[in-house]
Amino acid sequence: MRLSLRRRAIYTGLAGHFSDEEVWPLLALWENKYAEQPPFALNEFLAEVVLRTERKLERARLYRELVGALTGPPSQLLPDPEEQLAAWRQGRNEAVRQVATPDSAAQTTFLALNQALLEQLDGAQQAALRRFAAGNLSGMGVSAELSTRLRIWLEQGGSDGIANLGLEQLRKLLNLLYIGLCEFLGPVRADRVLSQAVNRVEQQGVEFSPRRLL
Amino acid sequence: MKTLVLLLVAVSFAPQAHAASEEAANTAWLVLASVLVFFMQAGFALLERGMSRAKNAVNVMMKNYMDCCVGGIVFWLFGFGLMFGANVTGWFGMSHFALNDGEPWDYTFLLFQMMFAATAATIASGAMAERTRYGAYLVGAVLISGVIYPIFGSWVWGGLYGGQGWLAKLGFIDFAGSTVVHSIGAWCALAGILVLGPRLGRFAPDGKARLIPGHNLGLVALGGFILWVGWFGFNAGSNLEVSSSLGLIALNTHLAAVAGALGALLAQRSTASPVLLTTTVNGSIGGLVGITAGCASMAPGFALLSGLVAGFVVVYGMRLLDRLQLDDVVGAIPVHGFAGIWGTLAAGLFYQGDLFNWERVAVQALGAAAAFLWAFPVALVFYFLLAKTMGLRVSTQHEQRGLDFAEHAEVGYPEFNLTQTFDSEQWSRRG
Repeated sequence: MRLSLRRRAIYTGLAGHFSDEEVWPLLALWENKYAEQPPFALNEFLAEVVLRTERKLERARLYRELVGALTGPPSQLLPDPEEQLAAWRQGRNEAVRQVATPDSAAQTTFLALNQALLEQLDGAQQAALRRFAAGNLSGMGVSAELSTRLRIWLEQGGSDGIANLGLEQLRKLLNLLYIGLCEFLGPVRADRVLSQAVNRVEQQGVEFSPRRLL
Repeated sequence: MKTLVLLLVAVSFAPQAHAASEEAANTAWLVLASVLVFFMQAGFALLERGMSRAKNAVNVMMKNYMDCCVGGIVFWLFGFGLMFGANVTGWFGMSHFALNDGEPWDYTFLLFQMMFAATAATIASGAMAERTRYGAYLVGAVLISGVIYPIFGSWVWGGLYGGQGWLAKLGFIDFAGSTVVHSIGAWCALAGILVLGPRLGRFAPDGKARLIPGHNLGLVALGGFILWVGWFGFNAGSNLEVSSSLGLIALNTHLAAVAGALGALLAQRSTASPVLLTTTVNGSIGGLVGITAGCASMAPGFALLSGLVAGFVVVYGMRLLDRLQLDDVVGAIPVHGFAGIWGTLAAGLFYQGDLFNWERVAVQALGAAAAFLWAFPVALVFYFLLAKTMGLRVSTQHEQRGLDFAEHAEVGYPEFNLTQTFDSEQWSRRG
């Protein structure tokens, strides 16, 4: 398997679990140390990932996903991140941010999905949902600073509240909104509202499928 | 002279031949009844599937499919011995574990009782649907089939191989298991839903219950019919032999079921609420549970009355659970627990030839209370420990996505499920 294809596979697997800022050092680690090693070294790589990130990861799940990406069809993989990785290596973080990454695409889609969800609610319900989500951010496992920013974003709106969220965190935030919908509308309507929001965003032809946030 | 000898030979062998054919007939009947009781698993599965949302359809079927599998093995290993083994103390049996070398009748009886254990275990499935981790549920089913159900069963039915259960000694009547099977299953279910908590949004912030309709009422009705059919094997099979009693038992079973549906209908109309299919089907099953204890010792008119009252018990029981904010997806606790208590009391009240003997009723009440005091705390502690160790409830994300995706990576309706609550292209992300 060519290096670019393997890099795409590892990138695809990692992107679901780590934010932009976290994923580049991990991808660089893989390329430097593990890219040329046999497939079973993937486990060692994961052990090092867990050690470095100091995060509680579902290691077996991540392993399954990485193996799935390495053995699955290339059409399911994200584009080769070679350029972004090179930019990160050169310390040009600004350049990295300017290049479209999975997280930034996911954030764009998340904002559209959030909008589509709220549009189906009246003013009072919108406010209640925002308050509910703002009051229950503790379950997301983000830093205090990010939690504060998210709370402000939920209460006052704006566009940069979710700037640092990775795909998995965006999923958790969407789930938090879903729990709020269940509380205020009941689970049957919550399912319908979520489903309709996904359909609306899909019709907008966004780059990143809203289904991947579910 | 030759004729006389032949006649003597025929006369001397006739009782043995008759006994042999009788045993064969009884065996055939009990195997057939076992098949009917096993078929009830299909009824439970269809009923529960129909009453659950489409995104959990596979999970429901998987639970019902597998709980009788793991439960069957555990019952063979431990349960049968605990329940029917030599019961010297009156509290549990101590022989016939992992029965491997018995008489022909032992195997037949074990098969039949194995189906009963499966029924007791599967009752919890319906109550705990749509938010329980698959693995944890199966561990719970093992405990119910292997320990909770058989130990209580030994108090009532134990002593086949010596000794007798303490409730049986007192004269407790539970012919086919209103309490032994159904209430025990229901009290385990109650413990399960208390530890689990309700499904997301089942109760509004002001405490009002919200209806979460199932996705296929046809399956609910079909499940109800199948359970009804299976119940003939459940009750009439408990006679354990082919005899003239079977007619009364089957008739009482049927009368109670029809009256249970009618009772549920009347109970719904009496409060001007709509007459729901799900509640009506539950009413008939409540009627069946209600007659299970007394089906062999009650006149048909009282069987009908027992079923009718059970229908009311089911409807008001479901409302009581809503008021207490207990989320029982299929209404298993009112149907199997509350109607089970009523059926146990009715078996004492309407005992043929000795109606309204309050001493008998008191023993019945004691048995029903003993079932609760045994099964509920044990199951509560066990489910609590499960929740703290391997986890009993799925995450909210998995509840959103549905357990078919989260627990099994399969969907029940891949072409027709239009609601988007999970990413169907990302199966590998489940877990």
